[in-house]
Amino acid sequence: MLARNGPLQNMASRFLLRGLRSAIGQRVGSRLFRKYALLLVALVASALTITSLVESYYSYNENRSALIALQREKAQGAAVVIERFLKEIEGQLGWTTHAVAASSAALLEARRLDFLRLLRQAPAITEVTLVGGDGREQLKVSRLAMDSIASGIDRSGEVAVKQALSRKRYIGPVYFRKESEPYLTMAITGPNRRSGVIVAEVNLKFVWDVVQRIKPEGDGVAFAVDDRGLLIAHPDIGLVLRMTDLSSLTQVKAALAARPVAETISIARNRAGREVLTAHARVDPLGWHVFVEQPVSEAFAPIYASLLRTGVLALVGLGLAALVGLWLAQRMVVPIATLAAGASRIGSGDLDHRISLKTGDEVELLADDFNRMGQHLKESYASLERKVDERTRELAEALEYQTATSDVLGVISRSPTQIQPVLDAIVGTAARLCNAEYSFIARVRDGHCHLAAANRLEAEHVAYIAQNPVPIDRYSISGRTALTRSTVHVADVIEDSEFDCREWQKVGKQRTVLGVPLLREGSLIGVMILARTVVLPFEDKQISLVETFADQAVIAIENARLFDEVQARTRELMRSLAELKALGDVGQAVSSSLDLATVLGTILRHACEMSSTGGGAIYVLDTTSRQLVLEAGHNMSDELLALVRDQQLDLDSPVVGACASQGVPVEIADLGSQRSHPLLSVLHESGVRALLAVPLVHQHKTIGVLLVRRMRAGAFAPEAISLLQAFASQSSIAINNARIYREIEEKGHQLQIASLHKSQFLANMSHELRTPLNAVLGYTELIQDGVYGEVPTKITSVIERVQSNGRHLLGLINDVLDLSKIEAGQLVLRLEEYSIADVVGTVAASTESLAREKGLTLGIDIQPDLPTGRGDEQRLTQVLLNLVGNAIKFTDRGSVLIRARARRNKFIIKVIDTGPGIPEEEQARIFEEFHQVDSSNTKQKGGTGLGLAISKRIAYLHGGRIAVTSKAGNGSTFRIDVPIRVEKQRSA
Amino acid sequence: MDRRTLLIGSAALIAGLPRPTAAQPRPRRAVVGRLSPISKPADEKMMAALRDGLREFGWVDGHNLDFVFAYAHGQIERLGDAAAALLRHKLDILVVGSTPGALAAKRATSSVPIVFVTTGDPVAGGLVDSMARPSGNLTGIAALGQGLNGKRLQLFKEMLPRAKCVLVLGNRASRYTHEFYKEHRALESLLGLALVPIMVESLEQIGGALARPDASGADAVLILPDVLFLSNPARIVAQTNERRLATICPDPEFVRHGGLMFYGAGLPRMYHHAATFVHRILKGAQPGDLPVEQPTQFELLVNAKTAAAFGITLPPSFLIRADEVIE
Repeated sequence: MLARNGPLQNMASRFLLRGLRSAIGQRVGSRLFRKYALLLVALVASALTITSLVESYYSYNENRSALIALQREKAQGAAVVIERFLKEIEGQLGWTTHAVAASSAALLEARRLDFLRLLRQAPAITEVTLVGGDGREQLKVSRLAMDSIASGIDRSGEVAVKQALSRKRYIGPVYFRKESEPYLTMAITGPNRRSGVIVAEVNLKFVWDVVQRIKPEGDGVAFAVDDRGLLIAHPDIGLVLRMTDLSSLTQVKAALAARPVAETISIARNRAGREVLTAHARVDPLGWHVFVEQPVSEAFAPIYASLLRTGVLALVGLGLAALVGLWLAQRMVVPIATLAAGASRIGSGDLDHRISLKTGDEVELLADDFNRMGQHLKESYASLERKVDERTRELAEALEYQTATSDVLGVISRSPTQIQPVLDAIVGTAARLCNAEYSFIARVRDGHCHLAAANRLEAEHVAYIAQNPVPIDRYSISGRTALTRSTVHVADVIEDSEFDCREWQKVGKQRTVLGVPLLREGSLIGVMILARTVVLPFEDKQISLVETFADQAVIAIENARLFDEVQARTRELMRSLAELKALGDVGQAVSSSLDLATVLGTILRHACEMSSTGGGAIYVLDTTSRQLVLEAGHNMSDELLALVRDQQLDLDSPVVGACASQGVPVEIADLGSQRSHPLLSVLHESGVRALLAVPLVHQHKTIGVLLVRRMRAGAFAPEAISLLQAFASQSSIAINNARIYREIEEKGHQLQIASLHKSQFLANMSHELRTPLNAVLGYTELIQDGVYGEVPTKITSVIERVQSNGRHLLGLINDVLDLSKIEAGQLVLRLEEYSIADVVGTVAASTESLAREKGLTLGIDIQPDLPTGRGDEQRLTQVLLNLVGNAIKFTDRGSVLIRARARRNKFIIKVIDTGPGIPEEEQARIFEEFHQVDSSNTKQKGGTGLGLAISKRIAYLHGGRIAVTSKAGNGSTFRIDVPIRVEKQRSA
Repeated sequence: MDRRTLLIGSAALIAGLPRPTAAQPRPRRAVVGRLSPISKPADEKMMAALRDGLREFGWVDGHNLDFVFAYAHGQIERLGDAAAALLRHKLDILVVGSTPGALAAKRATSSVPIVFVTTGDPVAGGLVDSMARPSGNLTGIAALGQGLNGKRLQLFKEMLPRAKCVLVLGNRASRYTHEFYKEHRALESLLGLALVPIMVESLEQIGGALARPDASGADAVLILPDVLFLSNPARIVAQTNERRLATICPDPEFVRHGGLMFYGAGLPRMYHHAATFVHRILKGAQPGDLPVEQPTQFELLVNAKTAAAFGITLPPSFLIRADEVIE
């Protein structure tokens, strides 16, 4: 289509036709058809439906009324039968009454025969009795029981007799004989009171038969209730026998309330809750009611059938209506469909198509309009196509330029560092797009234009331009462009008055030439030339394209320049980084190692690598001999090493000595010229040509020299010297560190020996002190016990004092011994299984008397089932004893409580007292040796002041600790934490 | 709704009502067991009445209903085995005569519905808990035969006022026999009759029993309703008549064979009514929900020929009462 018609034309027609199609298109045709069809069907259907509904409504109501009337008739029939049945019995009873009561035997016999006849005629009467006016039974005839004559039984108390006497007639409630036979008692009197009362028992099964004979269709039932709503007759005799009370049913309730017929309920629910059509009739004079009921669904089944028939007819009608509607709609839609098909053909481009419709109505007019529109469309297509062609050409050209530009940009981005491919691409593309015979780019350098890239230029031309750089002047186009720094366009160089490169023109044969400058931020970096060998000026578009290319060339050149710069900077940074890394490594070596040889070796290696020297050495100044001693070497052959070691280097020796004495770097740029010292000769022989010595300075004093050697002669760069100085200062730190460490190590060793000596001394001394003291105490005890005779009273107190002071001294010595043992590392725990409860028990037992003496309560609180511990039971007992003893000692009233718990692999034993407490500032110090709280007080209490210190260490040896919490005046709590299982003693 | 459904639906509507036309499986024939305490010939009349009654409800023997029979031939001890034999069939219902028969059936099954026809009191006899609500799997008709013995004697006395002594023939094995003998003294004084109990254990003993010295001089014999006697009315009547004893019968059949009189509800009539129970139970009713019914009609049958043979003139009251006088 694009090929056949112009694109614009095509677009317009498509737009127009889409609108047309949406108005009358093919799909719309079917929609219309549906609409018409639906409308017709709806009209007929609604008429049919309304008729059917109205018809059904009235038919339903009429049928319903008829049904109810029929049922009521049945009920009334039954009621009449029952009524007649009872009336008949009453009549027959009445027939047997006589004016005079039977007074003689003959009369009685006559009455008996009457009664027998009565039983014969009225099968429902089971028993008939004559009761005299005096209330006594005169005669009884029964079908079941034995007859009796003149039994004289008093029956005046019976309801039937009383009622009959007062009201002439009595009809009793329904009752059941032998549980299952329905009966009622009927009694009437004769013409007067003297004639007595005839009482009859009437079997109501006959009534049941009457009711059962009313058999409504299907599941319908007839039943009778009495005036209280109790069921007295029902096809299901079981219900009757169960004395079913139906008075709660709405229809029964309504019937019992004796509402007018119009108000009675015609649809209600039966006992089973099923909806029934119900009708009833009253049985006079008993007040009974006969109901005839039929399930609604069943009763209305014919009505429903009729409704269904009506519905089916309506559906058939609907179907017919639908067919007619379809046919009519078809008729109406055909011309529109023709119109739509025509429009569609026009829409699909067949503008010569004409719609032929002869309907003579609006549709035909519309078809004519379409035909006219097709004509107009055809005409407007022609102009549109022309315009579109022009525009397409322009766009294609623009696209080509754009593509070329982006190609060049692509090349630039692909080779950001290489300039040549970019320039080649630029000149090539420019020449191709601008139809130039050849083109080239020249860079401006030294006041001349030098060829940088060329396209379609013969080798000889290239050689010519290369050999003849064009000067910047007005005589050549390149020169003129460079000179003016603006685009130069010469239509024909031969006609140009200033052009003066005839020789070159003969070679290049150029006529029309275009020159464009390459400018970077106003400064000229080159020119771009396009040449044609015929006279054909370039178009403005082409010129601006070339200018764009020139800008791109500038970008490429600039890119390459920047890239080179970045490269140079990067290299420089890399070097600096390496230097820093080396210094860092050296610093790390200095701080992480105290081995001087290793550290200096590392420093030397890095120094040589960073300064690009072949090898080096570090000399340390021996302060005593004032000689420089080789401490470390790098890249030194054994031979060289031996030679250097042989040399005595004093401060007067060249290079190393000079450097050490002057404290400044000393270098020898060429060893060949100076061979004043044997060492220098040796070095020269081994190929060394240059030397640099840098002093190692510590606290403004030279302590050594760092020497590097190079196989190449020449001065050392200043940065190399400063770098080596940095290494030198690291070296001096390392040397100093090593010295200090050595000194500290020596001092430490001496101190350790001294401490051991002290502890051993103390241990020995304590033992030596204890032996004589034990003797003193033993003898004093013997004196006290009177072994050496009666002790005078005066001496007793002295002896006691000796004894008590001696014991105190012994305790002190024991404690000192313990402490010294611990400090000397001689105290070894005896690790074994123990029970913490036993430990607490032991301590409590041995301190209980002490507490009692002071009037204190000693309490124990041990968590039940504590685990078995492992540790030195004796030592732990000692610790606890010490704490409890202290508590009792320092507490004057109140209590001391020992509490033992196990928490997370630990025993926690607390000793809680109500003593004076320990001030906070003292709490840390009480565990120190020979320390007691508040010396004035403790003097009274006694003690060595070592107990807590020892306890603390024993706990520590167990891997535990002792802590105190206290507040002055508020008691103290000492807490021991020891691991439950101590498998290994902790070293002191 | 797809087009197919629509079409089918429309077709169904146009054709009329969519009726369920699927062929229902032909229902199984109901199986009715008949446990008769008497002999087959004696039972025929009852069964005929039952079949008639059932036919009124649309149950036709051999068409939609089958009978299976078992007879005890008047021997109570054979009832248990007979019931068990019957229950080997897959019974839908069991129709049983007499209180011992019903008890045997009740013992044999608690699931198969039982319809009984008895002359005794079903509550006192232990068949049902109550007349109105029998409960369990039994119901039926109480024909009141046992309760009418006094009435029968009274009617006999009315017929033959000069009668002085009546023998009472009972089955020693029946509970009712003993119950009657407990009360017979009261009846004696009420009716002015001497009542002489004659108890037998089999039909064969009747002849000898009637010939006993204390039986001599009796005017009549009252035959208590019992399966033993019901089994063979002809033979018994022949023996009583031979002894010149007027027979007060427990069933109309005896009168037809020459017995003097019968009063009560005839058993065939009861069996006819029992069809109502059978029908309702086959239609799904629970026996326990159906009250035990009692007869409403009682007939008085007199054999005029026998009466004449005994020299009895029927009084007017009797003629009024009698439903049937067999000439």
